Amino acid sequence: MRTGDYLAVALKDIRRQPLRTSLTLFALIISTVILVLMAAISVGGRQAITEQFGPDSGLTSIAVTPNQSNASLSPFGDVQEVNSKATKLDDATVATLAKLPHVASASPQAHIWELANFSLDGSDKQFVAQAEGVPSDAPLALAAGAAFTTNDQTNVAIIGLNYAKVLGFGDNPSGLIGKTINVTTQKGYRGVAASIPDISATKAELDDFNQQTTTLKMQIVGVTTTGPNQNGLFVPIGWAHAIRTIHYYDAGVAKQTDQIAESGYTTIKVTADSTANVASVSSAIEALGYGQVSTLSQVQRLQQLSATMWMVLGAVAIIAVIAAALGVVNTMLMAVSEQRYTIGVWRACGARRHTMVALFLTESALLGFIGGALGVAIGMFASRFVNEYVGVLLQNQGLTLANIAIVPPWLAGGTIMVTTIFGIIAGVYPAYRAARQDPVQALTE
Amino acid sequence: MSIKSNDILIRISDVSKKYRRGHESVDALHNISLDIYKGELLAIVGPSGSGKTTLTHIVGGLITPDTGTVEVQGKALKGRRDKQLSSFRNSEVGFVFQNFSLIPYYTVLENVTIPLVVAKMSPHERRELAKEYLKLVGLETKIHQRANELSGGERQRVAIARALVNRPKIIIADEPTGSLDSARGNEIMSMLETLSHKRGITVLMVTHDPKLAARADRSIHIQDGHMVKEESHANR
Repeated sequence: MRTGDYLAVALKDIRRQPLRTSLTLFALIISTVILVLMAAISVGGRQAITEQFGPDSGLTSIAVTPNQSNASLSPFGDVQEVNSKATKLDDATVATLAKLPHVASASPQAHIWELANFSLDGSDKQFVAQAEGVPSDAPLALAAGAAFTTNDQTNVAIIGLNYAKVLGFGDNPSGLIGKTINVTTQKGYRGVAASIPDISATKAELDDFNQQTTTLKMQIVGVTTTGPNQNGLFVPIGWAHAIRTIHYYDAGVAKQTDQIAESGYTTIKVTADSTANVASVSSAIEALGYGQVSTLSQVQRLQQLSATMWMVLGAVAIIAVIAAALGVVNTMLMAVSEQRYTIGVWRACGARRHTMVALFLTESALLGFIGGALGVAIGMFASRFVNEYVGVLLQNQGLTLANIAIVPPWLAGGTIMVTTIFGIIAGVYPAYRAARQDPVQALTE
Repeated sequence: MSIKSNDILIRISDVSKKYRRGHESVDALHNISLDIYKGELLAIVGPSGSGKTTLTHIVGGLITPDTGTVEVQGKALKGRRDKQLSSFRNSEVGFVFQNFSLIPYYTVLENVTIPLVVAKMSPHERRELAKEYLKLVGLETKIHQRANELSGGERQRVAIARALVNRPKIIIADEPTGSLDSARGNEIMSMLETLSHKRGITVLMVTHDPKLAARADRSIHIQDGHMVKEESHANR
């Protein structure tokens, strides 16, 4: 028989029992949709991890903290153990770290707890300010604009790309350069630009002040690329010192305290000269008594977690496909049983045993292919729905993620191939039974 | 028709076949020997269960005998593998069964083209050839009708068209008129006579109807697996 004839005869037999074929296909489609969605979410998750941490060049980054971390205790993040011998991270630490072998750069970061949220001038959207003070030579990869000119520049900021995306500048981040953001401080803020009551203030005036916030206007000079800084808000380190310097009266005497100088930097970003040396640099940092979290290890752990999740979810999906394939076995066995007469006719007309095997395998492969193709199509549609629905949910929570479920061409093609192969496997025993059938008995029944 | 010994198409020698029925072994055929000639219309007569159908199935390569040999054009069927036996059925033999053996959900054309599909003929060629044979049996206007939409006589004519479409040397017709009324039965019988006498096709017709058997060139009578009588009607 010609290949086209196998297909035509198999299609005719499939169409013969529309209800049974539909039910078998329905089971195959559902299991395929589950398989596609599981895989799509896994692919999307991996891509999100890569986007979150940036391109390969960003994988050389190591965040140094005063306290040792113990990552092995939790699969979801580091547990910071209090290090009684921890010393604050200061400029001397930065200098020490910069001299370690295979360290390309060491740059301090100071979290500015005083800044609460911010919005673009003229926009209603409010964002949580995850503000950091960084030096002008900090290794911030920028999609638009330029780095700070000096550490002491004031009223300027670099914002993360994700804010640009939410504000509608995702495709044109340079459109934000020169625009102003209004950054609101925590209540009772006592840093630069705060209207602090003087010594003569009454208790009521002080209480009122403690309920007030201060708004700092900052001009956007840069927008980061995707990666670890895409959700950040960065200001020059000198100005960060000014914001974090609190002004107060002590026994009637005006005083001020630079909290960064007092408690040290939050982290020091160390950049290794290559990803191959990240582990050795991490070890050297720990040997100095500091904690460290490398982007590479985080990515690896998240990818490991993602792979584990995929294995579990994939196993569930594969079990679903196997269950559907058992449905194909049942359908094919029934088809063989019902078509005993047809098989007898074909055999009497000269069809060989292997022709009958090929015919029934074609039929089961077609069921697998059609079920797989429809399942992939619905899975792709469902992925779009998941992306839109989950995207809105994440956006409402101030998070942005391009796509949580991605169906690349290899996944679509591979899934159809898998269901077709499962269909063929499911057809082997029924096809064998069809070939073994005695044509005389079938024709004389 | 005149018959010469070198016109032998099928030689059946000492063929026996047993069937197992539960724990019992039943003799279906016992030491049958018979020569069948080219272009001969041979009637195989006998009561139900006498073994006549088994004999045609052995000649048609659908089953193999336990002992004895069947030679077609001097070549033994015994020892042939599935591939060769299938090829023999496809190119040398056409079957017409009492129950028509049509696939009910196929169209008339699709039923007739089955042997040609097996023979890997191109779709265009087999369509034209099938139409030619359907015209021969007077069903050219019903090619797109499903087999289960036809009358009994029409179904048997489709079965004959299918048996002929691969231009076989042998037609095996098992009770071809058994499911038809006398008028339709007579029509089918005339068709088989024409095939034998005008086209030179050897026709083996199983029947238990003495009137039909009398229209054959020769008839053999089988009873309980034994060939009990042979009659020539060449003088009719």
